[in-house]
Amino acid sequence: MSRGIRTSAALLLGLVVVVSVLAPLLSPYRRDAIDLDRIAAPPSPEHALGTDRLGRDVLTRLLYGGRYTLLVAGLSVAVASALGIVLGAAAGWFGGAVDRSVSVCVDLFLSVPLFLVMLVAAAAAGGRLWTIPLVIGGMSWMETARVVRSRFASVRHEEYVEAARAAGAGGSRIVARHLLPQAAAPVAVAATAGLANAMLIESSLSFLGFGVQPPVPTWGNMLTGAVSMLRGAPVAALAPGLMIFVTCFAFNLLCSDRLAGLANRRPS
Amino acid sequence: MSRQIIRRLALAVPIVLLVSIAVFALLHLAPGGPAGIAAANPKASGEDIARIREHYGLDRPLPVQYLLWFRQTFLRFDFGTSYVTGRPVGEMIAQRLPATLELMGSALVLALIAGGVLGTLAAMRRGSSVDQLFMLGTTAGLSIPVFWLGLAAIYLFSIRLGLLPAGGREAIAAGGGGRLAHLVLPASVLAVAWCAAWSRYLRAGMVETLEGDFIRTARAKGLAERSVVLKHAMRGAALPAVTVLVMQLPALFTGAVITETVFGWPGMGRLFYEGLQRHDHSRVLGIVVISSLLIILMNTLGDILCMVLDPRVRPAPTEKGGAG
Repeated sequence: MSRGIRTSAALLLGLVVVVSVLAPLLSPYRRDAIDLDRIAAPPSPEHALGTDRLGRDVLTRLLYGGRYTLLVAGLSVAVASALGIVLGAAAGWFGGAVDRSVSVCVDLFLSVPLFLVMLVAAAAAGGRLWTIPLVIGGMSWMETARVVRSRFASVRHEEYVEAARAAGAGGSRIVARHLLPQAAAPVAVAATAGLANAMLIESSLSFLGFGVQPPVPTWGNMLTGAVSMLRGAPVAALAPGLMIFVTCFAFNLLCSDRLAGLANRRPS
Repeated sequence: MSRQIIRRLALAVPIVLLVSIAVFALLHLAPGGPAGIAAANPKASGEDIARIREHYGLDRPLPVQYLLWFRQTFLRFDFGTSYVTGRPVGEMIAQRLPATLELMGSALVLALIAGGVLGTLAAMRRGSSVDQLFMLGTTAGLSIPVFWLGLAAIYLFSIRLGLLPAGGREAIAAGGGGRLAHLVLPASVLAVAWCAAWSRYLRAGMVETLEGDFIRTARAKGLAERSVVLKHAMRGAALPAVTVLVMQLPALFTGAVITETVFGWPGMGRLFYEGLQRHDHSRVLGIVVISSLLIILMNTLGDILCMVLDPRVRPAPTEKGGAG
């Protein structure tokens, strides 16, 4: 992907983040304010994007929705990266039985219908802002673990590691100072793609009613039951999805060249 | 080679065991279930609820309940009875399977054709503006939430243009035309989603193959580029693509929860989703377990294919096979 495209993607993401952070200042109404005179209404001078089925301003909830959607995606990736780094590093550093157990774990997670299990877990976890990232991150760490493990395994016997050991560095110091920085780049790529994937998963869970629960708005849960709103208020039914698409597109453009098959686990 | 395969298949036992325990525990963690449904009914007395709990064995300790379910499922191959419909889960699955096969099968064929053509074209002109456009387009395709694509398609093609039905699956009795019309939108939406991923696998495999020595030889002996790509490179490039395809096959059974929900398609995905909404434990567990078994089987088959088709993979690699 050309430099120009990547720069525009980064700028767009910056804009989305700034607007989401500033949501309370920018939004015309309070987050959950209800306008009983206009329920599921099309756009009007008062409500630029119309209102939802409870009479809440769609533009306001779209702005706030960005905050929660990005927050959940960020937390999910943090959980996934932490798990992936720890498990991958352990597998690559210790090798042997530890490596084999981690590989069995990866096999386990790649052998289940992940989205269905996430739905079950999300239903049990009850759709709070902190439980959904645990569900998504807890089942999305495999790619990170794989790249960290292979990086560790390939540099473990390099001479500079031997040199560090000879200089008296302990295992934890070698891992932290010499091996982890080696894995930073692939972990960052996996995390960027992970952000897009986490957004798609969160919005899919929310669309089905098992994600973050209202009144907290996310772009996904604004679309729960949107099928029935398509006729009367198409803007309200389509705008949040457009935001998800644009933001995911920008994240994926940033790491697109390395994306051969990663994103294939998107829920359908 | 065979040792590796046996090891993978042997792993199926602990995997299915762990998955079923996890899902069983999660289902029972969630509030509700048959007793919960009865409790929501103001006419149900405490005695009624206790009787319902006893009837479904819910008064026993969880581990005992799990062991009973395990014995029933794996020793008698019986997935139990649905709390909601009162019918055997196996029968409900069998009833929904044709609709899912129809939807997923047509989406898969559409995605294969479109993805094959697009991936090959991009690989032939790699680095050109066509290729750039392909990468941009497939990245977009990978970033679209499937439910939103479905919503947009319904809005455009059935509400605005009035061309196609917005959802449902016409009964077979109504004849061929209506049935096809109902299939077009959901199958195309799924196909777009899959095609983006699949064509990229194909392009990646093709580009890698086109850099091989035998391709240079083929070109050097004066073969037309068309023939080089379609006859020589395709065989090498198809390998990772076929492996990926085989690993997608379990979806033919699992269905597509989101697409089926958006379009009101009566397939496995919705059977699962409705089961989860109504706390129909045996239904949810049954579908997850069968799906897991299918995924393990097809992953193993993908590995075998990879080894049979590509001699280079045979000397037991430590890294898992497949495209990267």
